[in-house]
Amino acid sequence: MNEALAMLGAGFSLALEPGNLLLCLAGVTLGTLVGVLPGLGPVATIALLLPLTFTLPPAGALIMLAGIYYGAQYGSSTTAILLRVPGEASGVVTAREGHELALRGRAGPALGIAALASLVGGIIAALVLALLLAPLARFAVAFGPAETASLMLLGIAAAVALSPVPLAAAWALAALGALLGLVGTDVAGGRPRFTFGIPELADGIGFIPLAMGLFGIAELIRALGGGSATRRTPAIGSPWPDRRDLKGAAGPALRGGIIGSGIGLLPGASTLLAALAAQAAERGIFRRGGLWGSGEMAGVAAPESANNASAQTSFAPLLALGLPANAVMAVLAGAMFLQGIAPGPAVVAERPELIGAIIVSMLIGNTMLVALNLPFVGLWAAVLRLPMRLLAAIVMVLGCAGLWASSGSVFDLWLLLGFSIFGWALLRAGLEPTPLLIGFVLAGPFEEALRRALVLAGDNWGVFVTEPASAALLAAAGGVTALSLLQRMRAARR
Amino acid sequence: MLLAGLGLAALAVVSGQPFRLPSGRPGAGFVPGLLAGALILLGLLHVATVRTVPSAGGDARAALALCGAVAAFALLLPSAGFLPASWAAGSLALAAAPGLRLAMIVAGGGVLALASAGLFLGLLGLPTPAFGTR
Repeated sequence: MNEALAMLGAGFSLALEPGNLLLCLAGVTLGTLVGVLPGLGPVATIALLLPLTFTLPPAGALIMLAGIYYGAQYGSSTTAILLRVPGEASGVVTAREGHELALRGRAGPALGIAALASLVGGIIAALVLALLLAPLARFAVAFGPAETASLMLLGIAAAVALSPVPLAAAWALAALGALLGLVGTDVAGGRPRFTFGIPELADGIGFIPLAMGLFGIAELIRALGGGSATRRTPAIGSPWPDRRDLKGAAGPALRGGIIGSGIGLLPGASTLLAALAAQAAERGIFRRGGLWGSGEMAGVAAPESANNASAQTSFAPLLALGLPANAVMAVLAGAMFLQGIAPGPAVVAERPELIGAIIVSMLIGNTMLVALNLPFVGLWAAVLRLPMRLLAAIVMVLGCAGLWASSGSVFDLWLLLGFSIFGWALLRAGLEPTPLLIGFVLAGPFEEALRRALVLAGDNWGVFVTEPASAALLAAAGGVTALSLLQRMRAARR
Repeated sequence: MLLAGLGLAALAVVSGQPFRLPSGRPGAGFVPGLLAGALILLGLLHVATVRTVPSAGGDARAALALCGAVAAFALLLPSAGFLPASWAAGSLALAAAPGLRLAMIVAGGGVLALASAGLFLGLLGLPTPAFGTR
């Protein structure tokens, strides 16, 4: 508890600096915008914005990027409720009941409850993060190289299990990502490998062109292919919920926040999973007699609180263990590396003010989001009529110029082109590239841990199963993979 | 099959790196060799077990226009300068979806290029010439 208070205390003054407050506002506003717009999710946005954050101080950059992620969860509810189209994946769950409420003329209160429930989830998650980060980091510090390698494998297994791609292909993508992550100078021997004599590759493949190409531009291609027909939205009315709505939503919001916070801590967890679990809990246990299917307010409050909480607590595996839990966290890990910060237990111990500032900014950002979402909900509904083509053109020009500004390398622009084409090819083949990105980010630490573990154990591979923590982590990775295989087989039979 | 092919190519490249160092320790090709082998096996396993995977879409016009925008920016930036590169990228990106006249695309690209130059060259002071080479 004292550690948590000290961390928050150290982060308070940093988070409250005017520049960081402005960046927090910019992040949550951008997040709401991309959450509202179906097609451009937070991964693509953060990937495309990476070059711009290069010029910012670390705290400001991370505060802004985090704001985009949880801001997108807020924005997604607007589209889900008004159009039954999720702006972001987790909005699918809110869309079920939220759109029914909108059709019954209660779009305003549903949007209001979504914003307030998200605030509740955000506050719960920020407290969970503050309380758990230091103990988690201490746990990770005790890990030797065998445990670290096994932990990395568990992270990849979890990302692969949740990927919509067939299991073998998802593992293959992770291996390909890891191979790409190992291009550059070999840390142990100091000699270049897989650089083909290209000096620009001596430092490895740039994270920004890879993330921008595979996620940003490929996502824009998909969104433009989906058409940009004018959308009509139902009447909204006042977004302020009445006392009955608040009473009905309070319990689901609190429970959703707790469930979402717990799920966000798991490697490989997603906001969609958190929203689904929270709604399932309400429907199956806590509010079985509700108006499910015809506009149940708990069906908005629980998933909205859960997805926001999960978005925030998914920072814990990254910050405390150095393990990106999903694609957004993998991009954020890249952003941290670009800022010269290696995510992991050391950053929690050595930079408590930075971690504290990120957590405090979440509390501030969530409050900003309610102020942005409740009074200006009509404005966000109007944004839905923005043509996708214009948005894509703005993003493309800013993205290319931003990449040039951050790296000053024309080679990186060609890399961006290569990864855009590859991202499009993966899209055509139905292969979602999250495992590749996670493999790319974890390749370096995994290789180092594996080599060190083998050297220390005298080339004995048995060390990975004789060390109890490593064996437990490997068993968890195997369990996650087996479970995912069973689920896919069951789905295929159906 | 593409994944298995990539694995095979990676294995060919990895073979130029030492799998083991003279001391017996894992060399620069050790982990990449394991990964390339895994990639080949998993790629083949995917081909053997999965018949069709639904495509997530993305039409050719959008792909060509957006990839063309990046290529145009990369080509024009060192030779013609920031403004022509941004104009070409913006115009091509605006042409990614049908329904906009050529004059609008060209003019829209110009507005985007000016805005981008204002932000990067004016506000952020990026040391890149608006026209021509350094």
